[in-house]
Amino acid sequence: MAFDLSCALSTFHIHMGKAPQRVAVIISLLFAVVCLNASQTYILSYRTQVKNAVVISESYQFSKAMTEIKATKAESLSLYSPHETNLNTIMHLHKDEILEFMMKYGAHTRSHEKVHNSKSSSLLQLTLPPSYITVDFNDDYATITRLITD
Amino acid sequence: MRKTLLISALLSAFLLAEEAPNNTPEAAKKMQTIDPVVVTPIVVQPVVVTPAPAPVEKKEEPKEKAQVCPEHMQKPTKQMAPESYKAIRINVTGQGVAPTMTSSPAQAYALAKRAAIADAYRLLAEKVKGVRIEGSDKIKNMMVQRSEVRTFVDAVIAEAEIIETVFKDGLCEVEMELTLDPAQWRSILAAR
Repeated sequence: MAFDLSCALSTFHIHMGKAPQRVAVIISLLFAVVCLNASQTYILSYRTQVKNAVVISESYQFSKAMTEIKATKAESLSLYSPHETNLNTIMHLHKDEILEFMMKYGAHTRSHEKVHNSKSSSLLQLTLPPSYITVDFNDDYATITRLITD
Repeated sequence: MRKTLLISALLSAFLLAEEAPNNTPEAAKKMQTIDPVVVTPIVVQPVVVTPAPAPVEKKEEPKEKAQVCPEHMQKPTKQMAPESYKAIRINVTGQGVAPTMTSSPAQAYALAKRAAIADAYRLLAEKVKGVRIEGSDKIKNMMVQRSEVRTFVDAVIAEAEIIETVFKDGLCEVEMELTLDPAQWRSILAAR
């Protein structure tokens, strides 16, 4: 980032006297670089219901965080996803890996089992509570980092 | 006056006669049988003054040197982690079945695996936190009309890892392992 800034400033000084349009282009480029490098915060949640050992419902929610949070970065997971820039696609393609990674840090399980006249039925619910993550793209890799709120 | 002197003299004579039985011939015989007192001369030996011997300093006997040989050496205790520091590992195998109506085998596998993971989490929660059980039986006319057992598990499980996944004949089995820090958990688990 510091390198980008110094480069931009040096080119700014060189071309100052030539044309103001070039300056505008350089500034816009600089802004674009800053924006691309910034990692976006997302919220991820998951819930599945299993009845008699068969999945009956599943929900996998992924959305941008609407407010800024104060959090520290924790563990991260790198996903190889070449030629893929759409985050939604990546998150659904690597759903299993992401869920396994996130559930390692806490999953809520709730179970109700009933044996009525020697016939049993069970209802299981596994929930990943809404968790903050950041996603960074770098060299064909999407890096997902878990955030711990302060 | 004379009478009193006479009486006293008579009394004293009478008393003396009583106190002196030795005058009888038996007493005289006894006196003859008594052994004569042997007087042994006391020899006083001259005291020889000899100079006092110089106090002998007790030499402390040198203690036996500690024998240093492998037989007498204290065996070093093994620096092994005690029982309490061994990690507590809980292994479970969850099972899940693929639904009958699936669009592809991949979907069947994915859903079966999901169900198996949820089952494995439940088994872990059962072991770590426990199960709440409720039961009720309805008996009418000495016959069981209804029998019901309900179990509940509610827990948050962290740090569980999938060890192995096997999918065969529509049944998916997921082996999961949970490693607990004994310092943190042993007292909690022991108290239950």
